[in-house]
Amino acid sequence: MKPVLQVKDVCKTYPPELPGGSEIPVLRQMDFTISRNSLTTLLGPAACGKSTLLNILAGLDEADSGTILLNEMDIHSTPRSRRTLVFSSQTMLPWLDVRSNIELGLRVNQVSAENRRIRAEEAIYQTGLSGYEKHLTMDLPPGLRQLTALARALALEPEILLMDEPFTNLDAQARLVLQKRLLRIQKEKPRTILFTTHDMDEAILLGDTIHLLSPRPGTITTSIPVELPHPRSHHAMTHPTFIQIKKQLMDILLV
Amino acid sequence: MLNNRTPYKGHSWLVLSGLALFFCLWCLFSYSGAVNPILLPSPSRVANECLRLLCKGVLLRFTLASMGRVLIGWSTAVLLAVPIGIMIGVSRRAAALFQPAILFARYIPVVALLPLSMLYLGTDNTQKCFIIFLGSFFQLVLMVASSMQAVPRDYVRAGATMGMANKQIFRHILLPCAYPSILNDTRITIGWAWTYLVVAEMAGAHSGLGFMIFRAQNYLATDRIFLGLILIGFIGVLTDYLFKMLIDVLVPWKKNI
Repeated sequence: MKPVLQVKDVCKTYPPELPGGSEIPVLRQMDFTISRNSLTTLLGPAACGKSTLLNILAGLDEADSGTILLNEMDIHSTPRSRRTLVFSSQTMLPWLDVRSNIELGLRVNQVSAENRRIRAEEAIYQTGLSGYEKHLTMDLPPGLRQLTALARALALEPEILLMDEPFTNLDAQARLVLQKRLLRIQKEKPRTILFTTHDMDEAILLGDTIHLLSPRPGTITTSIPVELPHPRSHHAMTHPTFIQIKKQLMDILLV
Repeated sequence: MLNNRTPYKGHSWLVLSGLALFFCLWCLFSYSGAVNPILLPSPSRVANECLRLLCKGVLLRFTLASMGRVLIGWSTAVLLAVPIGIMIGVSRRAAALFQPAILFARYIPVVALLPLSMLYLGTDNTQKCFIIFLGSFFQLVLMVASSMQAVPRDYVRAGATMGMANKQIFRHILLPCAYPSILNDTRITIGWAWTYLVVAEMAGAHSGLGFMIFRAQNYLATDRIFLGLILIGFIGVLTDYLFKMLIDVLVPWKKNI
């Protein structure tokens, strides 16, 4: 099967912050592919270029060199809403309620009112936000707010869903709940997802494939397929395969 | 300090005591004779003067004249400053075109423009409103521009990843997000408009509370001066209060932030 996303030899360097300073190389020869309906995790330390890569894929930044193909076409030919990004920070608009936040993306993309309602309803159901439609997002706890961000992205029905450390800023309990929700979404209606994290457990639990990134400038050092059975739950964290992958990752990281 | 969403809530007795303290000090110094009554008129004398001028009809006429000038000068400033401020806030080209000139103009004291304004426009209401306009316009433009620039970048990025074009980001993200602080900017500016009203009525005026204050100086009628000051303060507080209520009604989501 053809991969949905092909990233070939992508490099990115930021200009110096101060005149006379040195350039900051962030990405070096990034190379990987993502197959349809799989969840790929990019595991790497803070500031290793994960966000830069996702920003490039989402169309919020440009690569210096390399090729990126989405469905075998140059990624620029796919509108940004079809490769939408879920941020780690709070990006729900505080003047809109949950439903309007979710529908806004559809509204600006000229989806009819009827279809907007259906798609928002489905996203709300999938993320378990039923009953919160009329709440202003700032009245919700951070976990539910981040679920709204996920629902907003799902409603856009993207070719590839980009998630940039979406659970990093949540408390440990909310993080477990959202991980569980994402596993359930992947079980019921799998999507193509690229997910970054610096949490080893999260990378193994959620990922079908893990790409381990080096510190800046980021490049993939190791790729590990996660052969844990689906559907998964947090019980998988005691599975021998899980422990073996974790050990393998530690051996690489703690050299 | 930790919870100051509605700063006075549950403290109405403190609000009253604060005002009462002020009033008591005034009574103490004036009725005891500690201060020359010409310099500090007693509350009863100010009240008397208030009644007298009310009966003559002058007070109402002067108050309305001043309020009218403030309203016209200030609302012209709002009508022009808000769109220009928004443009400066979102477009680098507009900023390059307008901002340096406005920064320059802002530092020219409005009082120093009184002679020119009278030379150009005479001493009628147009000139008074123009002075108020000058006093509020330049400040407001810069405040509105910075309110636009204060929109969190993450909201703009979120708009972009939802597929919004620049126009849509402006309409769906920048404007609704900056709208409450722009309202607040106009609220702050109306206070300044009152300051410049008094400046405008310093010279060449025949009516208004500022005029009343300056004329009273010639007759050493300090009771009338006090009356004018208290009235202006009172109108200011009332306007501010009404504005805050309006903002609460128009942007309920801002209360909880």
